[in-house]
Amino acid sequence: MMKPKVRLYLLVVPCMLFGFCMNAFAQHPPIVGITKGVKELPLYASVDDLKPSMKIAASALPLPLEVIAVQGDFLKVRLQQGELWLEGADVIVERRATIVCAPAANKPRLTAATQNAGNNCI
Amino acid sequence: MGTMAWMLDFLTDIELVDQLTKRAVARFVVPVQGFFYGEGSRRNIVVVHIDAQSLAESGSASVLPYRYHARVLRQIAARQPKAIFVDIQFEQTRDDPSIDLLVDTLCEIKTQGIQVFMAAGGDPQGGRLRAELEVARAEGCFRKVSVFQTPDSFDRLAWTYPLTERIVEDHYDSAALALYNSLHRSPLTSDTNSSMALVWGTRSSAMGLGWAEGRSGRQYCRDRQLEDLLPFAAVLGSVQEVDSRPQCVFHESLPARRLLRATDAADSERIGAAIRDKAVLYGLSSNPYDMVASLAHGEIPGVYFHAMALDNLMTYGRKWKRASDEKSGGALLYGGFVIVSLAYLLATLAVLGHARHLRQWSGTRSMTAIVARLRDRIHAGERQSGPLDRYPRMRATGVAMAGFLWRPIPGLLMSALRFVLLAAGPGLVVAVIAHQWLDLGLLTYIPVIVMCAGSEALQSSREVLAAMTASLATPVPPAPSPPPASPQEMLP
Repeated sequence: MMKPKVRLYLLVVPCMLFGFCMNAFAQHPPIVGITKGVKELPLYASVDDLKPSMKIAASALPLPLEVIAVQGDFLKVRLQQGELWLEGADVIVERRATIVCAPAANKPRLTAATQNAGNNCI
Repeated sequence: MGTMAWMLDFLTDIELVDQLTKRAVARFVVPVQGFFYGEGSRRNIVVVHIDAQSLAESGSASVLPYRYHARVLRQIAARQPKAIFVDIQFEQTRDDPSIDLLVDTLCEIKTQGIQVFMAAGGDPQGGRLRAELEVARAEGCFRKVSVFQTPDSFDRLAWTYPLTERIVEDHYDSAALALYNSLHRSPLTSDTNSSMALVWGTRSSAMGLGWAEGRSGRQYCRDRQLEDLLPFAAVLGSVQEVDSRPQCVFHESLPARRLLRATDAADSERIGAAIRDKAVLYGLSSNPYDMVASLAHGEIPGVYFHAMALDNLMTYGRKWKRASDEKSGGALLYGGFVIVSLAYLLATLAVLGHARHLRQWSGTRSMTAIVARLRDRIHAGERQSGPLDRYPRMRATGVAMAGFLWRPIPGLLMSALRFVLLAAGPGLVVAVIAHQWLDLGLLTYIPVIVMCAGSEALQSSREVLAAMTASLATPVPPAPSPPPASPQEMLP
């Protein structure tokens, strides 16, 4: 018969390890720099917004900065002004050993048919 | 009868035969021309292209919102290029409020001192773009340029590039010309009404299109090979496997998606270096309707057509190659005639002695006579002593065949020399003069080369035949007669 204290350890320690691992995987690489040439960063309240809510000077962005969410190419960060989205391409993130292998696209081929409407409206 | 009539009709259509022959021969020269073109000016040019994956990642696979282009252009501008050309015709009105963002971005880029050029609308729109963009153009945020391309009427390939175009009432500089003029202190203004003959570079770029080929998943293109420089490489294909894929594109390319995502410091630096101080051409690589048939690269996105034209202008400057120039073309034809005549005179004097020698050799022409001569030699050889005496017939046959194969070699070498002197030599001289000094395109001077090579090939083939048959005409040494019998032996 196991002691209750030991049973507790057996339950808590794996949970802590699991939580730690999950947290490590879920965390996005933090922002560590600004892309060369970017002087001003537009910040959006929502990813779909057409106009930025505000702009801040590149030098005013506190670094390193934690990324709390990612959507497409946009990164969500917590600033004094609140939680806002910025363009991923405007910043440099910490290097992580991740390999993303995307399958190469096929060469586009002409078809003897009309494709969906709007193909020529790009 | 129908086939005969068709062939007769084809052969009597001189213009058609002339044009097709010209193009067929010129296609052999294209890889050689590309080889000598070398690096060209590609270190000054980069293509940013929207590939299928960029479209998929944008979340709008069929119609890209204006916002997407605004974001890409902003990122390009942040890397401080010298100029940007947008190879997308924003002419149709559609319901997308982010057009204002695109307009603002274009005007902002202009304030950074970067020239922006936009593809003008097509003929139906009279070259006009969307109203919002036309307002921005009027304010000087960008310039419109023509993006027309007319495939060759015979083989649909992109041999030429129009430097200027007229759309309804107005004249427009082409994308390549406008970019060149914006980047150089001495702009090209004269003689730009004619088309430029494109020289396609054949060195593959390290960062190309990255397309896959069908289900195999292998790269759709290949690097250039030595076989590309050989005429009639297709013949090689019948005896050994030849990689029939087109060559990879010449210019460095970046997918737009790479400019939009967050990267680490090293990747950001690589992207920055790929764009900084270069002319950036931005267009689609995923649209099958925006393709150009390159002479070396197969079907490639239209934006590479403009990139190659700009590369030619940067490489040759005022000496860009004229697609058709009747004045220079006529001078070349007369000049070519003089060169060929001189070469004939010199080469004929040089090989005169050898030709006389050949005539002495020739005398046995028929196949029956050749076989009979070979048989005589084998019989004569059998009677002689030498190595392999245990197999006299085998040895004699070997010696006779070796003699048959060896003897015409000097004659063949002389024929080859004569061909080089009379066909390849003048052809090369004509090509160099036309390309380097007269600034003519390949299709303009190729007829003179065809004239040289064609006439000389006929003459050389006759000489090869004569040399082969003459090798057997050399008198066979008489077989040694057995020593006369001694008087004692004759006695009973």
